[in-house]
Amino acid sequence: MTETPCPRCGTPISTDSASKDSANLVQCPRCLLRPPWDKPHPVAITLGPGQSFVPPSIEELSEQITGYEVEALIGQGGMGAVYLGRQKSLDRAVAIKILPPQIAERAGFRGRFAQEGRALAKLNHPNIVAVHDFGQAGPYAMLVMELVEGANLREVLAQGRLSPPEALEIIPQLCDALSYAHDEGVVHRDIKPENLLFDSRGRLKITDFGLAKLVANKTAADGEDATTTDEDSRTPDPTQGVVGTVHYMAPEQLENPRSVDHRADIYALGVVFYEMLTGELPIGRFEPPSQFLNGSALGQSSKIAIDVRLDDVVLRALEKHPERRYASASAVMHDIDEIEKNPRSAAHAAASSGDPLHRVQATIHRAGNAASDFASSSIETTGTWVSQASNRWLTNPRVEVPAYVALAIAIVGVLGTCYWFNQRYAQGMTLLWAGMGIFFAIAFARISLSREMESDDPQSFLTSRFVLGGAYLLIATPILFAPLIAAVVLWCEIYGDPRDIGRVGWLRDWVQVSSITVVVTAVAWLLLLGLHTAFPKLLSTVFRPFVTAASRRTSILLAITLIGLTGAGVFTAHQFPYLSYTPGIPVQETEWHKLSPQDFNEMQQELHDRRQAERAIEQ
Amino acid sequence: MTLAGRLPSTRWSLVLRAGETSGDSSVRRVARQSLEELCEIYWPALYGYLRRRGRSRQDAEDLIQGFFANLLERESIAAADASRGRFRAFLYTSLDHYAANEHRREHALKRGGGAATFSIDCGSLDDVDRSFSADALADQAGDPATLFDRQWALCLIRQTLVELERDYQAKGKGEWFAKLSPMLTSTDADGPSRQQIASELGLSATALKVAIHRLRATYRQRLLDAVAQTVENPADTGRERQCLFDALGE
Repeated sequence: MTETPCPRCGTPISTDSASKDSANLVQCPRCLLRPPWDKPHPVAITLGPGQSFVPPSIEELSEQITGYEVEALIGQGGMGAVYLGRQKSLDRAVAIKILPPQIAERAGFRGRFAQEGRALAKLNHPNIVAVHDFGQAGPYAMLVMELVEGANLREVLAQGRLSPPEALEIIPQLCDALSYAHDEGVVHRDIKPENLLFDSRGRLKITDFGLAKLVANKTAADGEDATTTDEDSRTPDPTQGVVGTVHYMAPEQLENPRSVDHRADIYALGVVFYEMLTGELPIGRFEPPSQFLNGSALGQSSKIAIDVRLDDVVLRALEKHPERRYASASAVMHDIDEIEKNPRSAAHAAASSGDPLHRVQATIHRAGNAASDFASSSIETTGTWVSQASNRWLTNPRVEVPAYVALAIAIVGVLGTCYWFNQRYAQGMTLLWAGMGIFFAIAFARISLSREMESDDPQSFLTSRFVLGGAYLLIATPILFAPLIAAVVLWCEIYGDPRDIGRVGWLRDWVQVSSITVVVTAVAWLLLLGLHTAFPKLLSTVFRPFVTAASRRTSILLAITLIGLTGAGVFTAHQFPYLSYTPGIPVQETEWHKLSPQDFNEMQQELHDRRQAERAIEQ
Repeated sequence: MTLAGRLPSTRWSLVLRAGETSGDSSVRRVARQSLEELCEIYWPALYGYLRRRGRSRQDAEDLIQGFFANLLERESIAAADASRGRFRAFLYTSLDHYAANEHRREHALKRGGGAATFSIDCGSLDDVDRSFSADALADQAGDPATLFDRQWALCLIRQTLVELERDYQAKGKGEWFAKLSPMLTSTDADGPSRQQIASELGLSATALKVAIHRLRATYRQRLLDAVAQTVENPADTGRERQCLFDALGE
């Protein structure tokens, strides 16, 4: 018999014993008898009146309940006990939760229970355990719920911390369910791993929704009674009316349980999220999840890095002050969606955590992503717009006919221009076609536009805008870029062509040419801007409907930018001035690079002439 | 079969109680049936023990058949028996006692043959034989009590696993059991094996963890239930399990 030691406990295992029988005995029998995972795990107990509650036996409870068979006790917590049951009428397995008699026997509880029970039964969400029925079973208040055969998050966490992708699969479900329930006006108040169940497919199911409030209600009311009967003696007990689980309770839930709103659930969500990622509770001065995993304690598993952006989400959910927390579960979900949509390499994320430069880069990256998101969403909107337009095929001929005519003219104009452009000696025809095409296309499109504005239909029609946009671009582009081209051309006329890279003085040429161009263009645009600000109607009439009166802030910002560009251009041009050259006065060779190309050529020519003259004299 | 704080009647406690309240035939019948079921489960432990003590296959088989026949024929388990609190300890002392007087075996076989015969079918004997390779059978040097306990523990574990597997197969999840059972002793949280299992079973990472938890929880419950069946007082289950655990470690 070959014996290999068990890798866990060292007990020799006879490996050939299971040759044919089954694969089961390959495992170490000692580990099977007392498995390594079979040890008590910490459980978060809900503070509440059910602590000292001894659940009734199956037989006792069966006598109290009609319509259901009670099969087994499957759990017990601070708010009661849960039994496995069977609904006789539908022959389906259910979970029966009973609340301790000390809760059910309070005055007014039944009414509140009926009211709350109805609210809870209305919650219909795939990630919330459904409440089928509720009522009294003898001394117990009873809730009949959907049975989830799976494991709760505590039991899942017992198998180890979750990887970020796993956590990111669970959190959105949690956010979705919470956001749904909050919209329905129900706050959970006791979100914790024990209340987050998973079915056999790994889908999240939140249980015990709103029970904490139901259980706490009377206690809180007791507090109220006390203060009304005796104003001065405020109840000193800080846990008065508190129902929840200490480490998962928001600070305000402990301090003032009556003023709890849905943001307490957000806090608990933050705690759960932190615990999923790190396996620990965020107590005291805790590290953000990514730092925690990078820490030395878990060095061997450092390959699992957490996106630093998740830190922000977790920390914001864990804010002490509810007003600084996420305002809603859907806001958490939104941020997580963003992170999931733009995954970064985890290593990069980890590296960038502390470095301000990387943070700036990350911000730029985010801005870029935001821009691309904007672009994609605007493409989407355009798509729907197009489909709407095609659906409204000629619903308003007064608007649409001229628009389509304009489109046709534009197409013919473009084709004609292209044709003549390729012919020799037909510049006149080309210009004519282009000009006529643009003119008539704009005219018809404008007719369509003005009719559209007259009509009551507020929807804007795409085709006319498309034609106008194209035509305006054809007009506006030359206007915008003319100063640029003119500047370059003018410069070349005055100073000569800039020298090639590497030749004497080339750098000075290029600095000069670009700064002069920038100055001229910026000034021209500044003038345009001034024109637009002074006569806001002018450009908006010419380029209707695209140009609107510029807002003061935008124009000031733009003007500052343009002035800045002008200044910068002037400054750089001033830094690299050309040496003035008068023919006849020789220039030192070290100063040559300061000459403009034109002067340089002239100087060279003169030098050349002089040398030839000298040579002639010598001969 | 739950252990949720109350006192379920375990098989062994039924057997013992029937001896005390003599008279009622239906109680007798239940007790007798319980004892038969227990013997059915644990005879391989006795067989393995005898083989390790150097008995031949035929010899061990005869001895066990005679022993159980004798046991089932008894009217009651002696109230004075100090080891009666645990079925395992009781069987050990009784078997030793029985084997010591081998001539009684002949006698018992002669008397038996009726309803009281305990039969072991050949196929299952082969199964048990296969789980001990022949050259390692005799272990005269070891402490007999520990040898016995070790065989007992192996038998208990195998029985639990077989039943669990049958359960999974009945639910059409035989493949799940085959793939997941290594997780009963494995503790590596995120090894590549997990990813492989998840993809083979078509489960998400979370669903796999749920499945593993279910398997472990069910296995643990079944194991404890099985141990509980052999003690008089269910509260002793933990101690009995510890005893077997210690025996395996030596």
